[in-house]
Amino acid sequence: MLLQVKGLKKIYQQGDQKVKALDGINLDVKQGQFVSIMGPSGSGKSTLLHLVGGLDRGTSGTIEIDGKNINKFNDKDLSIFRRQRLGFIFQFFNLLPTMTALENVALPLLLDGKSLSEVEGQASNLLKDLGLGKRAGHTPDQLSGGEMQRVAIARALVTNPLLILADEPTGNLDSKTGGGVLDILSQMSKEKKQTILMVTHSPEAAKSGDRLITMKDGLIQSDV
Amino acid sequence: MYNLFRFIGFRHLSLKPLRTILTILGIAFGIALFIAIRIINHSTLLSFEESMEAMAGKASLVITLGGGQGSSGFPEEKLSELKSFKEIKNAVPMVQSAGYFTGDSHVNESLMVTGVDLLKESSVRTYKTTDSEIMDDPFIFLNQPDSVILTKEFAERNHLAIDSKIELATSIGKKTLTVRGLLVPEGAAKAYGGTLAIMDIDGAQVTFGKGGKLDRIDLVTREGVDLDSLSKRIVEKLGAAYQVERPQENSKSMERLVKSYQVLLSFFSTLALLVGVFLVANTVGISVVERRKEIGILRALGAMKVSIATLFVTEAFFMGIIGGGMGVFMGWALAGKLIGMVTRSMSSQYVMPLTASRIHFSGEQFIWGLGVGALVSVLAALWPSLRAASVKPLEAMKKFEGAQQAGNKKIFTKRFYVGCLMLCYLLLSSFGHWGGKNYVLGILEQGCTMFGSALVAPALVTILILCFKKLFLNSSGAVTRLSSDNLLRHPQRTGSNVMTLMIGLILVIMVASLSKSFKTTLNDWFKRVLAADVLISSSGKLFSFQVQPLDESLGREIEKSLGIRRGPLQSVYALRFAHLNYEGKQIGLKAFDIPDPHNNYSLLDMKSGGKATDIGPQLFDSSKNNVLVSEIFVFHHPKKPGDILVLNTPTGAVEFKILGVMVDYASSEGMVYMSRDVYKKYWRDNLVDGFSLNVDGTLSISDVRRDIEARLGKEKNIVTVSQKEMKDSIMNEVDKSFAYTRAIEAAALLVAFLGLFNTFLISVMERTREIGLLRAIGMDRRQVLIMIIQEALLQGAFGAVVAIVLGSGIAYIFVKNNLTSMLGWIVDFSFPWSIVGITLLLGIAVTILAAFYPARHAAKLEIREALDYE
Repeated sequence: MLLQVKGLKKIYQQGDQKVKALDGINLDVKQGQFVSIMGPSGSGKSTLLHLVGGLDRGTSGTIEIDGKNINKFNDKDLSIFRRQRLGFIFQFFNLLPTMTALENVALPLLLDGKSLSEVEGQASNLLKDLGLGKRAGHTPDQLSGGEMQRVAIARALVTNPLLILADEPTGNLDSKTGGGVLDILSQMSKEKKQTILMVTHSPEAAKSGDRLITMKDGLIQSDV
Repeated sequence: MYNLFRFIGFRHLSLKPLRTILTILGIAFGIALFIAIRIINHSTLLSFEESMEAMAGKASLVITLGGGQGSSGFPEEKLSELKSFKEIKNAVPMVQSAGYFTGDSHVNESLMVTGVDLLKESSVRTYKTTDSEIMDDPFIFLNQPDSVILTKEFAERNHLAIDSKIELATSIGKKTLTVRGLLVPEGAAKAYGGTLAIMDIDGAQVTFGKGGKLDRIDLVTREGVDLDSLSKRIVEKLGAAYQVERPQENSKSMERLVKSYQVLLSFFSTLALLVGVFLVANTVGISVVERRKEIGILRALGAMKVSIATLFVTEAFFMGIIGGGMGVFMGWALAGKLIGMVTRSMSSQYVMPLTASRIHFSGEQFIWGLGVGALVSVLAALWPSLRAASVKPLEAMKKFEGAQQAGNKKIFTKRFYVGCLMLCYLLLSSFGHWGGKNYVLGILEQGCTMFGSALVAPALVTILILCFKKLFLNSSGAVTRLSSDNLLRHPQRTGSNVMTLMIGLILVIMVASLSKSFKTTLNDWFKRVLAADVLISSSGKLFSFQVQPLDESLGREIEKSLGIRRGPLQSVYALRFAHLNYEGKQIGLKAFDIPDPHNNYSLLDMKSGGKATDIGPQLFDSSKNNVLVSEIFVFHHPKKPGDILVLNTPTGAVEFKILGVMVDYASSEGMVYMSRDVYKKYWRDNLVDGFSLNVDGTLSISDVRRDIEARLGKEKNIVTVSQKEMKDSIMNEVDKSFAYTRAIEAAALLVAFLGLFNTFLISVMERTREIGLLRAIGMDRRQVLIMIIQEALLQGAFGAVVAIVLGSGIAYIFVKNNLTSMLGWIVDFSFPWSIVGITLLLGIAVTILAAFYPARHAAKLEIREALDYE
């Protein structure tokens, strides 16, 4: 099992009240699975993604990725784990405006201390694979929304991660461009056995995955 | 880490060129002032050291009476007492006196006149003249006692040549001398920046009223002599009043003397540098807020906290290095402009002619500038960088909102409490005089002064804005309401602006308070002690004793004038000022004639020991060795009335009884008053620095002055001043002494302006979408402009009000406590009320000027583009 979540709870303090964002989630994801998570706003789907990605810490419960309990990691270990073993795709692309497409893709490796010349080929190939070979030298403001999201996908893939976490990857794109992005994710899952956990509002997007989890009030309502 | 700076940090700096340039300029101005003061301090000491070395020549020991150039001189018989020391190869006597020369420009130029024994001189110093005949055959020179040799540089500057006649003010009036030779700038001719004149020693003794006296003896010793032991034995032989030092020790004494003054200069320049620190902290802080999302992305992608903090620190370091480099060269240029002003101010302060002939700029200064620029930038960036490191990776998930975050809306934040703690420390440190005891504690005190007030200021300004909003909410329009709301909604940004402004304005208030306190204290003191209607001296500055001493017999000639109030013993009263060495420190001595009984001993401004009318008769009883000491003397050397004070006089160590403690401001190390009869007995000195008299009413003060100047002015080279003129010239001198501080104020305000400009520009950019919204719902361009200008106005005005309150408090503590330990002055605090208006105007002007361009930029924004802005 690549991902094992057991009894995961996340409680936020809002003024005098405690809000349960996650109320004891149990979830197993095998390697190569493309899991879509749906649910209304406030159902806890994004919180689950953040906790699995080590961007936040749960109140109780455990998260094991590839047999490692990430709750036990300190901040430094968690940073290194994110950098080397996880890939993120965000709704708003989150590319760095000062960097070119190629440099953005290479960023996780650059953060790992490698030089651009070392990783240039790897980043460039990924961009070519995603049809952006000619846009490598462009900065984000010179790219369209679809292109920016493809750069973000390439960045998520560049470290060859165990798990890709996608937060509404098509939420900021038109349906045609969004479809293209989902095709890429689906293809990666099928061809490269890449494990993907995707949060989405869109039932159409959710269909791209091979498993659909529906959440409500911090609990898994259905898992098909 | 290199990757982060290369791909992100460096590109951010180059993508925001205006902000980067403004920050670099801010650092450069701060460093410029810091380095300029450093160069000036260094150049002044080095020039003195070079002069001392040049004058010392081959001498391995120098004998003086201590007390520097203002000493009274010692009997020339002492020279023959040295004959018993076999270790001494040559003992070369010298007389030195500041002469005053009026050249073509009709401005008195000070000239260091040195009387030398030409027959012995070559064994210690070398001189090279353009016409070698003079030095090769000194008898030509000796046979013509009116001879003088000038430096070539001085002669050229004053259009003089060989055989030109020059008139010098001397103790017996004006004397015409003939230029017999011109020195090329080598050896001793390099001393005193080339303002050196050489005479035969006998001629100099007569000319400067130092008959039978010497000012120094240079000793050339035999090889292998133990100089320490020899010095001790010479002191034992000549008396404890004599100082026998290696030439380099002479400049060390000078360094000790002017150290406190230089510390004050450094204090002000450090304050200007602190404004630069705020500018960097501000820039980095804003950058962190602006780049929260980027930091979040980097953290989500696995960048560690330390890498994020290092990224921001590296950006600041880079700006610091460039700013530091630019600042060094700007400081070099600034030092050239300020050095004259500063050395004049120091000369007045220490009553001795100080010159810095040239600017000494070294690689060390350059490294200092770069290092300080980088260090202050890194230190300034530390806190905001740590804040950047604490940004959570979840920020990456949020839509663009980081920059618009309102942040903590609490008025009394941690920052406020830290500021309060710093101000409490300042209070304790000032009362305990900790800052004066230790350099590190001094720096800590300076830091607490500025950072403490800057940190508490935002909360105080917020309270004022809240009061303003409450009072004028109903009567003010929507735009004003929006302006005050904007300031309250973004306390961090408002706080940054207020802090930047605060330091600049507090500096203005401190300098003004210092200057006003000095002036008021001196003015009040003169009102109490100066009862004379007319003061007479040779041309120069009598109040700072930069005059040519006169022979006391001149008093009898002045007495012949009509309209002078007659006293029982005399009608004209002489005053002698001299420096003397007390426990290694140079103190001042004032010796007075028995004063006019009509004036009730008003010259004695007693602090303790009794009333002036009771103390006066005892002090002027020439059969007793009685003295008064100043309160500054008591501050440095704990003594009380009734104690015995041992002074080393040219005739030996003498015990004096302290009758009381008085107030005097002529020496920051302390002053001793005594009767001139007692002074003459022990110092064997008949010279005086000035005379005073009162008119009897039969003639007006101006008639009496006219009569004296007509009879004696030209012949004896004397001038008269009225009491009012004397006071005015002192006030003028205080103003001149503070003239250089204008540059410090200007630099601090300029740096504050750059900081504010930066923040306003960023604030407009951050609010682009909001401005677009306001425009969409009907706000016109003019209203946008007014809204932002009003924000500036509110911050400037309220910032100035808080600066006035905090600044006057800090200035009070500084004047009452720090000034004494730092400079040795005990001064009453006097608040410069005129500065209230000026500070308000400056605060408003600086902020509005800084906000004008960003406001115009905001007003010009297109609605659609603004709404699309992210």
